[in-house]
Amino acid sequence: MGVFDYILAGVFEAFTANPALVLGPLVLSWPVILVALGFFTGVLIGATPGLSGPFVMALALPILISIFGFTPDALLPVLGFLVGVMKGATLGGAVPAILFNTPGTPDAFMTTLDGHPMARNGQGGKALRVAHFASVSGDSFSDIVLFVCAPFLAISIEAFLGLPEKAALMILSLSFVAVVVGKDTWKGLLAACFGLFVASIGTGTDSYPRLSLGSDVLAPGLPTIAVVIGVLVVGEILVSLQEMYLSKRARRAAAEQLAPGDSALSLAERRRLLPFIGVSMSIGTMIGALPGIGTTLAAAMGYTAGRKMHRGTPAFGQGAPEGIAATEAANSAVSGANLIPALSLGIPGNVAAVFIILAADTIGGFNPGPAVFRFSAEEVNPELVVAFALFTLMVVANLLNWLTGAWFMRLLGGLIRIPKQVLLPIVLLLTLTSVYVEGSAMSDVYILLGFGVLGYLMRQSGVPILPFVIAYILAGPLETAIRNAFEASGSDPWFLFSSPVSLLFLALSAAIVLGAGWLRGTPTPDC
Amino acid sequence: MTPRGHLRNLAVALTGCGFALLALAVWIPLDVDTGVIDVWRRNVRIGDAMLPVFSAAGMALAGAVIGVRSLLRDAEPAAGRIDPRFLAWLAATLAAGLALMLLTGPILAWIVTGGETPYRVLRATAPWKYLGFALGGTVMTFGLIALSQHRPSWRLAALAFVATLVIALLYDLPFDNLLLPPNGDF
Repeated sequence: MGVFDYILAGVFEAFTANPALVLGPLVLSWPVILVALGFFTGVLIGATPGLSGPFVMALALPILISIFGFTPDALLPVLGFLVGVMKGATLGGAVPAILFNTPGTPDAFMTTLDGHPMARNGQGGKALRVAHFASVSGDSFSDIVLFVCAPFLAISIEAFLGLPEKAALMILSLSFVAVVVGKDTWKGLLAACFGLFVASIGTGTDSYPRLSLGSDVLAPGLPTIAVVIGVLVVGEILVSLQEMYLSKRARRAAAEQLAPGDSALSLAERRRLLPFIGVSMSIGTMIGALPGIGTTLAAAMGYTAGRKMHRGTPAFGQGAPEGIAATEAANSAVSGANLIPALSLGIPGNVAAVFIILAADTIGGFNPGPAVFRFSAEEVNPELVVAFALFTLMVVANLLNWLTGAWFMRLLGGLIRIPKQVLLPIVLLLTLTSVYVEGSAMSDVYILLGFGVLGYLMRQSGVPILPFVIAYILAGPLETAIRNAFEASGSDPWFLFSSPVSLLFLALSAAIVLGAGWLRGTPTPDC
Repeated sequence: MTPRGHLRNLAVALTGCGFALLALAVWIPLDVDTGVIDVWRRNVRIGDAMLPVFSAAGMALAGAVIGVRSLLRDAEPAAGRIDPRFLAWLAATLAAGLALMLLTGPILAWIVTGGETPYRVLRATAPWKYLGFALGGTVMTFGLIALSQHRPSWRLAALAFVATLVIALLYDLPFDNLLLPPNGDF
């Protein structure tokens, strides 16, 4: 099969392979339905202060796996939903930022600076349109970069890197994530090492499952979904509940809600925004391609770049549409680029990518990494077909975003907000139930809550969560790569230092740890 | 230096180092069958102890640096507050909710059937399958809402009950093969 055959097979797989409804020649497939559902759910959740995309992903993943099962047919609907949520949540975060001066997601904070003043001037609808136009432009650009770069990067890795180099590359990525997330290099390394340790419980190649304490619960290994959701989502819920418990502000009156007002955005106005969008989406895409650096830094850098470019009135911070465009284009451009290391190297760079890799691992049949993009001519590489089907679904989500995103954002502006104090306990029960129905064992719920408390303690102690999660996910592939490299080298104890490339990667890892202060010039506490 | 941030960093360092040393000295030697390097049929290969040993060593190193640094130089303010009263209320609420979830169904089944029909037989039939989840879930949700709102009320209790019921129906009605908590454990 040639390259175009694979692309075509991916498109067909997305649109026809798993039909939900067939009306003559028209086929509506489950992946397309799920990507649409994920997108609208993502916008809704992103627009709800206190919730974010990872919450929905955490809730949905066990449910979707329970519905679709562990079959190859389940892969695209589940991945499609997650991709839809990822795209929708970033867009939705702008709605409350503009209309209520409350960012729906942390990366939408900069949107409040110009979005809310515009809304107060009766231009809320226009601000929403600017946010949508910039967001969808940034997202589409970032996806195109992903489609081009991920296969290219994967092919290069496969062609030039052997087993020791791949192991060294994983160590480099892990060091990078540990150092750039959070404010303290050593706490990041502590979290990453702890993630590796936790992942080693109940696994290994020996007949006795290591570190299982003779327990039947630990012997098959900790349930990955319960561990990841516990530390990421339940920990966040507990921190928010404590904030509300301690804060008197929790009982303050609801913030002023402004009507959307004027919503027209002319072609000339769009053209004026393009330079700001172009710069910001390039910044967001570059930042997104680096593992561990989140949307918040991208938004801040995009806004700063936009402010330097801007001339005239209103100034940035006083209701300039260019300010919204600069922020939204940057934070939306992160999402597609974040999947470059995830799909081409198997290294998740952010929380959304963690859930996509988790879904692929749990369902099976698709192992993100360089092998996915092996263009084998003699026999069909089914993983490559899935990868192109996933790209197709991302295009579907983008088209949906272009066509309906602005309308849906305006619609949400009129919805009544649910108080966070009521919402979070309900989300906790939903999370608990989702995790239970997947394994039908209360031990999964106890593990979920235990890791939730761990996530709470880590957050309150300034120990970043993302290095723990990424190390936990990467531990298996890293150990396998090291074992295979050691055996392939004929048990050479210096196998990791035997080639210049792996030596370079390891030297870079050390340099990153030692030069951490410079790397963290602007901290990015995404997790 | 804020005393709280200073103590928090020391606590992180001690926890990290303590856990790592305990793992290296006790847990790994007693609970992993192969060493860091394993020789099997004259083949030298990496053993199961490699990953936990290296990760524990990394934790010990990171913990030691955090500890020494917090002793030698100014610490940043504590990242967040750990409130023991909140944690106690949270633990009590979750424990009460989970206990009710686990016990309500079997106890009511025992009372109603006089112990003749085990709960396992009833766990997938209405209304039994909903009892534990509805009561435990309502108590848990209401407890947490009341904790964060500081003002429990009948309205919030009703809201918690309705939300729990909606969640139960959301999982139970469309999917025949899914069991609500804790029915899969019986």
